[in-house]
Amino acid sequence: MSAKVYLQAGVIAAVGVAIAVVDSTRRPVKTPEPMASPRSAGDQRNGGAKGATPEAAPEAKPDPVAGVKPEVNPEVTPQPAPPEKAGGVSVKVPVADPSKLPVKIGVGEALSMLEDHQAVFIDGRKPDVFAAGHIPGAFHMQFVDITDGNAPWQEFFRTMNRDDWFVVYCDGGDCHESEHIRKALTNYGFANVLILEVGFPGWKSAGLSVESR
Amino acid sequence: MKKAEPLFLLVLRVAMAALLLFSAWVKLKPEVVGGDGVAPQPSGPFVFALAVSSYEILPPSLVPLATFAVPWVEVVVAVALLVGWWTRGAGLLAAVLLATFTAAVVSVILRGMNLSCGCFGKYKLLCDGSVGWCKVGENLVLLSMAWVLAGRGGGMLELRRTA
Repeated sequence: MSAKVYLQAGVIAAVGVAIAVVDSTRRPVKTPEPMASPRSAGDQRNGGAKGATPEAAPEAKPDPVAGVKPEVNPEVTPQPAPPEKAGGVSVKVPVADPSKLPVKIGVGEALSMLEDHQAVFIDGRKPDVFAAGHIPGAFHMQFVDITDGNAPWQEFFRTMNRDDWFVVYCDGGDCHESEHIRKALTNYGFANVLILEVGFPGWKSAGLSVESR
Repeated sequence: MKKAEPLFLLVLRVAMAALLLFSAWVKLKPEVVGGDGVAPQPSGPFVFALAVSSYEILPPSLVPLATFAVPWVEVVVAVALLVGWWTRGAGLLAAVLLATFTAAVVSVILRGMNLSCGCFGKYKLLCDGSVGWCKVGENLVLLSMAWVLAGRGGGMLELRRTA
């Protein structure tokens, strides 16, 4: 291939990048923040349930909405059945104030928020695995539903309050669906979105109840 | 066969241009504002920035530039292919882009990550939207198309032919 062809490719790339620079200054996109949060030894002992000490939180949530009551509107919130205990030992970690929690929470806090109706749970996994089993009362909504304006997102937007608390989960581990959903919801003013870090596999392996439909 | 080649190259370059334009549109489309009880939808750059950062290859400071640079380079390449201006250079750049995407996809697979690729939004070409070996194969097919254009030029109806 001649030098002329390489030169052409370089010029075309430069034109594209120049337009990109102009466009990116015209409508900037915020870089998604890193979400890493190391897990404590207590998490491992307790089936993925984290200790609820706010001091230990690697990324405490900065006062999401001042003066907001964490209670969820009962008219729009699915009322879950109380989950069972894991092997006779409760993994529940009481949550007095969700705003003191880190963005990524463990099974213990999630269980507490579910039982006390403090949050709406959002299942971001694919429809077939959701149907096979999910956290009781979870609302099924994938990231693609938000980006494409699908029915679950329309329903969510119409019925949920921005002051409510939400716990998003996917397959745990390296699945990015929860982070993407959280970012999109935050973008639209739903500031109180937490992530169940261990996802549905962590919930299930802790022996907590699941619902299928 | 020799006679059919210019027509084949024309079809190839138009197909490649259409694909790149569509891919760029998905990444650049504006936000749907919503209202009257209709939910908004995030812009293409917002969604693509999330996809790029989830690959965990680029440092966060470069994600905003990559978010816009990739689709805009796709647009310029597509226009060059469509009108037949510097077709070989455009084909080479398309091949470089596709080789880069393929390397990124392979790196994600090797790291055992579970991601959606962010390539064509909700639309599929040969594979579904998730990162996997199917996506590598799809990219290699497109890469070979681009490589043919880089080597042979654009065939019929070229505005400016490169020797």
